Formats: sequence, C-alpha cells, structure tokens
Amino acid sequence: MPEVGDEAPEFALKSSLEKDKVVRLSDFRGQQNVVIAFYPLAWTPV
Amino acid sequence: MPAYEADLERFKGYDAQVLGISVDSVPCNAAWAKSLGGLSYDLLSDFHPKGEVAQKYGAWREADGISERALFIVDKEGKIAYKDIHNIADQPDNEDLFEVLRKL
Repeated sequence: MPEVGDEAPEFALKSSLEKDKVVRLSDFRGQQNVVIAFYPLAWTPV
Repeated sequence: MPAYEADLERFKGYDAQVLGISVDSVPCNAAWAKSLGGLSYDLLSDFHPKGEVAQKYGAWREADGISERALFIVDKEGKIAYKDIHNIADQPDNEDLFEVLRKL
C-alpha cells in the first residue's frame, strides 16, 4: 500500500465527462495537484 | 460527491484537480452525475479489470468487491501528500484537504 511520500501509482481510466475520454494521473504531473476521491458506488448516499 | 462540486472553485484556487474513482461503468457514472445536477469534474471507472486501481492504492474491500471511501492528494511531482482511508459511511471534510493543499 503506498504511503505519504511515495510515488502515486499511475492509472488510465475512462471518464464520465466525455465519450472516450481517458484520464491519466501523469496528465497532471508538473501541472496541477490531484485530489483522488475513491467512492464505494454510484447511486449511494454521501 | 456533490460536496466536491460545491467546493470546486476552492480546489481550483489551490491548483488542484478533483477526480472521483469507483468500480462503476462509464454510463452508470454519467447517469449518476446527471442525477446530481451535473458534476464538472471527472468520475473515473475502475471497471475493467475491476478495482485494479483501488487495489494499487490499498483502498480495496475484497469481501464487498468495491473500493473504500478513500482520499489521496498527489502533488505536482506525482508524490502522495495525503492519504485517508475514511469511514465508508461518512462524508470526509474538505477542510482536511484544504489544510494539506495550502502547504503544497
């Protein structure tokens, strides 16, 4: 499990925003901080 | 997830992009976002292979086949600056995130 200070694992995942849009963590390198919010399931409260 | 949308301008002020991740499919996430009045940040589908990214981040609930409610802040160098495996039933407080972002 990665800890604070470790390199964040890379990913490439499909987005809800546009058809066929893929977002990679490395897209933001040197550009922006990233807040990653894992959530258990859509259509659930919170 | 609406809580992030409500504070999106503040996140932008800290030069931070919000990304939601779950095991839901793209159509499912898109329909859910629409039902919430629209979300302007990405919901990403950790759908196939299911939960691979959550597993890499140590945020996977094997017994349930879903991810934890978990928050990470990744700085511009690609390093993890914050990690919170949260109580799955509770909405995290964005102020905890802003406190970290303020120092980056």
